[in-house]
Amino acid sequence: MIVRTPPMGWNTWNTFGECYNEEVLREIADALVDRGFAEAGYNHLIIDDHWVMEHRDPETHRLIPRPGKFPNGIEPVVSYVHGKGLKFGVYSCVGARTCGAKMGSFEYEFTDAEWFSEIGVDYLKHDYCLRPEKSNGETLYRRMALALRDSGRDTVFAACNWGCDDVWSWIRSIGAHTYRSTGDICDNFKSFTDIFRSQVFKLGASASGCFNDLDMITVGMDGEGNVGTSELLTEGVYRTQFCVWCMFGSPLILGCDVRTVKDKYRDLLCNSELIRINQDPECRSPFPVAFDDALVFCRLLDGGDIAVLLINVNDNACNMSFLPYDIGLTEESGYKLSMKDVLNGDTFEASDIMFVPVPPKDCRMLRGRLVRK
Amino acid sequence: MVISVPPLAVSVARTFGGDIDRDRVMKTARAMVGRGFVKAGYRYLNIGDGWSAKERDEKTGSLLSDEEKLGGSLRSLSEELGSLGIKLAIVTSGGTRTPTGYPGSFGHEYEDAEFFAENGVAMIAQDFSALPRRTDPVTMIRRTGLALRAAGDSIVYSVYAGTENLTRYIRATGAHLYHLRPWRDAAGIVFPPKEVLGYSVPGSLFNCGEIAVRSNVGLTELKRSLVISAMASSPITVDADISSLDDKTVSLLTDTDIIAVATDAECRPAGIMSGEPEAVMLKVLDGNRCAAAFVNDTDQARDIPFYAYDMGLTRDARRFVFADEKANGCRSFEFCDDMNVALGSGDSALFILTLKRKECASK
Repeated sequence: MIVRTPPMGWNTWNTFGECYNEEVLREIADALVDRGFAEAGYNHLIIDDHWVMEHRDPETHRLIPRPGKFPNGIEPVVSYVHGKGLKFGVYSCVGARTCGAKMGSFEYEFTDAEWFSEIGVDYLKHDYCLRPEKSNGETLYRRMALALRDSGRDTVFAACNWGCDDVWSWIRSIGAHTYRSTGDICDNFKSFTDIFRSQVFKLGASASGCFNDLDMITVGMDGEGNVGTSELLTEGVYRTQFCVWCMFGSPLILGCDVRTVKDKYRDLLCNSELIRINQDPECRSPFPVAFDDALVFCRLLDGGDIAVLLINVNDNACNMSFLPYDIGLTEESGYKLSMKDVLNGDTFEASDIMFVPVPPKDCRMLRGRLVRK
Repeated sequence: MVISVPPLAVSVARTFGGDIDRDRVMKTARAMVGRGFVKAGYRYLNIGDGWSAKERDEKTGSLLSDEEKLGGSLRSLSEELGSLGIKLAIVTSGGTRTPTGYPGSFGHEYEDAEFFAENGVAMIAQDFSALPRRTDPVTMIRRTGLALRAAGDSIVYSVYAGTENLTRYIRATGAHLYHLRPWRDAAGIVFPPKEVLGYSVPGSLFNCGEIAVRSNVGLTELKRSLVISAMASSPITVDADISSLDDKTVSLLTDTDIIAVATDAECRPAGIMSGEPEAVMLKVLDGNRCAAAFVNDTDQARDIPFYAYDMGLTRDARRFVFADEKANGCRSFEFCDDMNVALGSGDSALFILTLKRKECASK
């Protein structure tokens, strides 16, 4: 199976942690469809850790969904999610146990992959906890990738080793479709900015077939939920997070409570122009035009388009600048850069230098192309 | 433009050097058709840099093609090639001069991109060895990348540069293919290191280099080069006067199994299971298959082992591996634990591996 553009969906972890059940998942599936997320492209509903027991079925050796959460087994949930036109994702771990000490897939990879295939799993997030000290992480991921392929069902394989062991250098070769590249995200400014800053120079390895996953998006959590913190993020900061995830070509896996998230954040997360940049068919990585106090990224898009993201991380409004020379334009080329803010429609044109006013702790995403002077 | 799988090309850039003419190019093109290269997937013919006049137009600064050599315009050549199902590739320079002294595109990137597009060029192999030393190479690559897009985004951009750290930046420049040494030094197949393979991805693929077929290159060496390129998901460029090659060589160059591995739709790089000199590479293919390649770069015959465990098999899988040799090999193995591939010095072997269901009690 070839995953041409970054997968999109929703995951239980950010909002619910351990506390979710069949009823919650049905409501989430309803909300994904009814509130327009599914139509915008968020088509995977993924359950994270804590969905299985601490032991296997003694006869079949299969995993056991937690009866407290799933009194009717997992099948009715899968069926409901599929019935909504969504795809269903689950979680496991290369280790003997998951990060939450539930049953892991170590040495039962083929047993688990076969069962996932039988119940209709479309996406597997595979974590990195509690594996033998002397085991080789690359081999364990290769093993589950092989098992999923062997199961005969098209399953997105989302590796989650937090960027350890130079994961970018081998993860594509083992057959994964996405790979987490950092530790877990929290719903605060430092957490997500540290995450994306750490990946700026590693994005060259992320492309069609296997994408660098910056972790689940916290936009719209408003300090609530499992990874919520006391810090309440502004609209500009959330806008910055989502624009970075789109610009960097990360999988877009939502973590907010999609049943109750404010309409303004729903609209941001479903913005078709931002998603179009994320899902651009060329899947090229952006490059930093400025990467210090001022953050400016440029990305080449399909059909000759160009995206520029300017991020103001300071507490004062600022007139940010960049020189088209740095993205490859020359004075004698006969071209100038013509750009439009994809969120508010402001237009900018320049051949030598472009000034863009950016509010404090906010960003602007421009899209445009070269036009004749 | 999205380049999802590595392109295959024939190049006469170094075979003929600057000494090209219409007849030699068309003879090669007809040989590409007649000897099965086009059918096998070779779509590009690189004619080198000898198509150009020695200097630019004095008044306009535009590139000029050498119409005497070409027997007409570059455009008419690309059209005639097109009628045979072949796309025109040329060698250019991102610096001031091409490898054999023709005008380079430095400072002319935008007008040259238009010239290439207007003349029906489908791929440029751009050399960066004659780049002014105080320029930033990545910015210069980016410049041609952007210029080609402005000119209609119809040209495959293949970069030859010696820049350190190019791997991590190349994807953002708009280049589709990249080789880490300048074209003028490209002397053969580079065994790509793991760090390079990680950054070789659909849309911007690492180019292991031209496969030079000369009288002193035997079938063994040729097969090794093809197998490594295919496993790396590298473009394959055969640098030869293909009309004069013997049938066995042509048969190897057009081997459908090697090319199927090279152009597999998932376009994943191989994993290095064990490094040189007894190298084993494993590449995950579309569908439930893998390719395994073995290369013996020692000076003695060897039995090179391959372990089912290393490819991901466990006892709970209840599977065994069926390994079927390709590329003129006829061995096959069925195993739960391991297989040993006997190879002479310099030999290579390519296998397609599939899993089969079976209770596996013992080896």
